[in-house]
Amino acid sequence: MSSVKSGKSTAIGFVAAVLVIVILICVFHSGKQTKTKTNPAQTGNSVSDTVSETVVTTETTTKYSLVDPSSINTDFSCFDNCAFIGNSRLLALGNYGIAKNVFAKVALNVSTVFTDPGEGRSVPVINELDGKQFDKIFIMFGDNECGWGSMETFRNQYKKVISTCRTKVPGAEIILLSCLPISKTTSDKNVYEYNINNINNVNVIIEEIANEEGCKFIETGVGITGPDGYLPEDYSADGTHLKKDYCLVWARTVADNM
Amino acid sequence: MKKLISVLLLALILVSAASCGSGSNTDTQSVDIEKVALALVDGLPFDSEIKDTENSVVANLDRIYEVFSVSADDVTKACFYRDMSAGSAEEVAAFECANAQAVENVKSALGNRITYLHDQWQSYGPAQVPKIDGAAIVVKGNCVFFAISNDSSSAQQIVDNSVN
Repeated sequence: MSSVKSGKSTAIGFVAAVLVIVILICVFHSGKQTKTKTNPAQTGNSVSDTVSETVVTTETTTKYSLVDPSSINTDFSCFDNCAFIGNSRLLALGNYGIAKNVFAKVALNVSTVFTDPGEGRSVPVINELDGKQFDKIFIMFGDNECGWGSMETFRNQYKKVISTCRTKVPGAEIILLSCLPISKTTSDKNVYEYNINNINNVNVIIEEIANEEGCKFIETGVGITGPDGYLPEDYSADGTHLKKDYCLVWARTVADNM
Repeated sequence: MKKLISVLLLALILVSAASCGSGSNTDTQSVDIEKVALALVDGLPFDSEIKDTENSVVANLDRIYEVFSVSADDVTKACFYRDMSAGSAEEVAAFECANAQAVENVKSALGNRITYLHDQWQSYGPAQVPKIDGAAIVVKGNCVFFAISNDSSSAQQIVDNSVN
């Protein structure tokens, strides 16, 4: 009798455990979907019109939570065998000593990376990869291409950057970084059509490129995007380039998702 | 006797020449370029966080040589503060040069840097261009100071005050 009872309670326990696991999987899955599929700072342009309302609501609670810089782990030795290629926003990672191998330049874009040398250097930025070995190469472009008439040109050139990186450093994993948000003041100035809507549109394209090229895509604005979808005004002196504390938050996001 | 006087006179001339030389060295050595650079950072107006010197200093001397295209033969000591966020062209640099010719070489390199920065920022961030065009190059003995700020017109005075 007692063995029947214990068998029954074992079965009930088993069913309960399975139910808990199923619920946990569902919760985890919906959270993961939010992280990879959306571009929440979108403020009404066409590219992400298909994003569902539920997803946006969940996103609000994750991406729009500003991270306290003093609370993060500042050990970035994980970047030691990585390279970063991109525009001026990346320069801060090198300048602040967060990453060693930063190949970037003010005003650089997916075309000029093949022609322009970095500050004080003699070869085009992309050629800095020649003869070097890296485990991962992070690419970050898009800010300086916001005003380009053709996003197809951007897409094609970006793919050319990826294939060149693959040729120069065979075996390195290529990871695409989204453009960071900018402040509302900078967005409203709209210099060269550099505004938050265009940045968000470019980010959707970058994520598409990542999918097409089999690259990982990291949404880098997590932790530094305010509830309004913009970079908080005091995070940057010019509304674009991050102060050190917020560079650390950004770098942590990259490090934790690489 | 005449020979002895000649030798003494020659010795006197040599000693005088040597002391003149050491006098000019003292001029250079008495200029603490780090102190003067900090005075420029402190005294000039900037938009960026460059005044947070702990985070704006470029500690790597080779990188300073590279950025300014100056040689280690010409520059014996240097310090460099810049907007590390890369959001502006604001910077302050100081160079202790090996000799008078090295001073000229550094001045020429700084002229090239102004041109480089002007061209770089003209289309990307036009608001920086007046700052770059108004850059200050101040020479004090064998030391050269360089500043790009919102208004670098007082750089000469700041250098003079710091040295004196």
